[in-house]
Amino acid sequence: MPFGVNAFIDKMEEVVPGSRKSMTAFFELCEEVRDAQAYSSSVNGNTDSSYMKEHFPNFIRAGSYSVNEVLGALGMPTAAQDILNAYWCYLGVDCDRMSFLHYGSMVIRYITRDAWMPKMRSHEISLALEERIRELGGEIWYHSPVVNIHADGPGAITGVELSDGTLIPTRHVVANCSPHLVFGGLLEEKAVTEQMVRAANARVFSGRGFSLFLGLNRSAEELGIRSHNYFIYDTADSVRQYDRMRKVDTNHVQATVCLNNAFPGCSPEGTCILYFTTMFMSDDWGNVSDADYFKAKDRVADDMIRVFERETGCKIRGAIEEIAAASPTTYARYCGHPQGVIYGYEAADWDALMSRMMMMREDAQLFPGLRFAGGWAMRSSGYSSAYVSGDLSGRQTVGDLKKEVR
Amino acid sequence: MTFKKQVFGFLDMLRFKKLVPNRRAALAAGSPEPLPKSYRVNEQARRLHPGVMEVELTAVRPLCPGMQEFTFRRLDADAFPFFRAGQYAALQGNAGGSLVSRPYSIVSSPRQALAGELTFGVADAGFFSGWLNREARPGDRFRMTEPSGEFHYETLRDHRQIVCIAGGAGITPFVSMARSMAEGDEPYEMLLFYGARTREQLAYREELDALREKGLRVVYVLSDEEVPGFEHGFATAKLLEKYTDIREASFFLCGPQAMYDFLDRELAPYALPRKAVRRDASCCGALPAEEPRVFRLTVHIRDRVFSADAAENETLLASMERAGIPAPSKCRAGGCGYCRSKWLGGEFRIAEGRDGRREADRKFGFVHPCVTYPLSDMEIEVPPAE
Repeated sequence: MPFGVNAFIDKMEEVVPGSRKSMTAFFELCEEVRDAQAYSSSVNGNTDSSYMKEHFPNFIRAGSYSVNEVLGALGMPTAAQDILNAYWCYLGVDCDRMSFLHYGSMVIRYITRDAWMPKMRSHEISLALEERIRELGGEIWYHSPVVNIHADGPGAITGVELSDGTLIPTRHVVANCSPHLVFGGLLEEKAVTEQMVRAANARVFSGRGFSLFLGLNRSAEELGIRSHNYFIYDTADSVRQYDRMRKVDTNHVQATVCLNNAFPGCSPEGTCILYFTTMFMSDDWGNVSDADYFKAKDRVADDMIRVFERETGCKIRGAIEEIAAASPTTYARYCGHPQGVIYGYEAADWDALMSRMMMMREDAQLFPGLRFAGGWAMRSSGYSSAYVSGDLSGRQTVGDLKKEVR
Repeated sequence: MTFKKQVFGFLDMLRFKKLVPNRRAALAAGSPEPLPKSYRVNEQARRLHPGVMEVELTAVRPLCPGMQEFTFRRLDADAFPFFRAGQYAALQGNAGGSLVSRPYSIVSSPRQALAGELTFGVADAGFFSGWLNREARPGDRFRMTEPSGEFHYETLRDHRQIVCIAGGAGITPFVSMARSMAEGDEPYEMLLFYGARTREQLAYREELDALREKGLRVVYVLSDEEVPGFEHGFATAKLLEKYTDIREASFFLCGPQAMYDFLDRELAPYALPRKAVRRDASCCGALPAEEPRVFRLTVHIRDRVFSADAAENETLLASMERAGIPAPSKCRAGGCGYCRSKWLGGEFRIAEGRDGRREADRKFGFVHPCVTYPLSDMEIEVPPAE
């Protein structure tokens, strides 16, 4: 599908005749969602309800419904829904349970702004942020895992302890990790309340990540890889697909990117980079034994290549020069996330994006002095969401500090 | 629910208003059971990637003149992590006042690791290896990094037929690879060319001969003696042709640079793709220099500041180790990124062909001290060792 709203609608009409009206209504609704969110951000979430009702009535009306409920109400032909919903795996929740507001705001940004990435990948953004922190007088300590958050009691953090025993006194912590880890082990037990435990237990882990990276010794053009991004599913029914993703063996979903089709210079001439991502919606990966670990990774990688070749007709297997796979175990190793989850808590049903955002302040009251950032925070997973949640939690923590000074 | 413009649906509005109370109720209705203390996948990550391990040397045995085998057990767990045959682990010890670390290819198999045993074959050459050969005794304690490295078979990349060429002490990773094949953990067919000066210089000959029964094909190539049953000379293309189809194999090379250069020339006429030939990386050492200039190296580790002499022909890592500064290291070849440090000032150069930094790291001023030589006084920020 092309970028640009009109081009998207035209293309959809071409492949699903009769879809134009509902697609147009869909994008109008998405624009209202985007505008409502922009307004909400501009007033730091303190929205005026009569202003909202007057200017964004459809935002409110659609606000409590799932993607499939709204698309059904718009009378969108099933085939068009199947195509439009292809991006669902970006958010990791099937369209029966995903909030329309969440999906609509993602799709409208994606379709109108295109996909962009830094030439040197996300690492370049991280380092730019890193450098800015240094410029502003901050310090960054790598290789320094926090093993304890000390507190006198609920809401009274006194410091953090590093793995080598170093103590850093503080009253404020921004944790870019799972509340499961914080309330289940990092935070001193006497400071953990039943409310925190219940709130963490109520939530559902999102997808456990698996990625495959290939360095190919032929160009994308030679291999016939024409697109930047491919979504390949077993079925267009996201509910059934989600169910198949529970098991390693029945999951053949892939979101695959050929970087060279966005930035030809990303690898030497005559080569290209291809990477594949999938998720497992249960802890089935945990059944892999240590002695079978490398073979299990190979099996998933082999399946990804098989499916890609079958669906695109591009024969890539013989061109593999470099190969690396990251399993849920790898994500658990590097990020520490429970079970190798890469998307935080599922933004589904009652825990969808909108309700999280509306409860942002209330959630932070669960434990004053402690805020969350990244995929486990209020904005859910994804690069832009992680940056935004970090920004929000950072600014709010600065606000907390200022209040203390006063 | 219908979407006529500006027509307000009262029930939809009500539903929207209930989002918050619904979520509040759902959070409060969560189980009061304590949250898990551990997770299965994270436990596996800790077993497979324990980081730095505490180990004890349990046995030393001679392999051939100038080379001994060192066997270790873990003190902090029962088993070593399962790994890919061909990988290395870095051994860290205190040799003559210096905190030194060297990567060694693992000789034992991944199955032996699960059984609690890990061995290296170490030639008596260089500072730390020489010290090990002369001084180390069973009962000595060391630290060891987890197995790492990309010198191993890749099922989806490599030919099923692999040709391994070892020169001297370069035999070590191939012993592990042959054992792992025999134990059924690797799908390849292995043909090994093992070059040494004389029969006496062949390490692990007994083990390799025994592995023939499990499918290993091994060809000994002696440069300094002619013996029936052994090939004489070097692993030339002609010799390789005698045993295999060069174009239908994946090559794994481990040995001295001279061997790599020789094989590059021998294999050049075949124009093999880059992926067909893998070389084990060697440590980045000191450069020859008559009277090297010595600079001041300032090192920040968290909130501590260290200072060291840094000779222009030695890597920043070696200078830090010499001064007893606890800097992290693993591959010592520029590739793994484990020693990645922030450049704060000063001129430097990077060993030729060893710049394994990411492009963004180059842009924002990061260096790998294991392959970086100073050209002036320098200041860097180094992450703490584990």
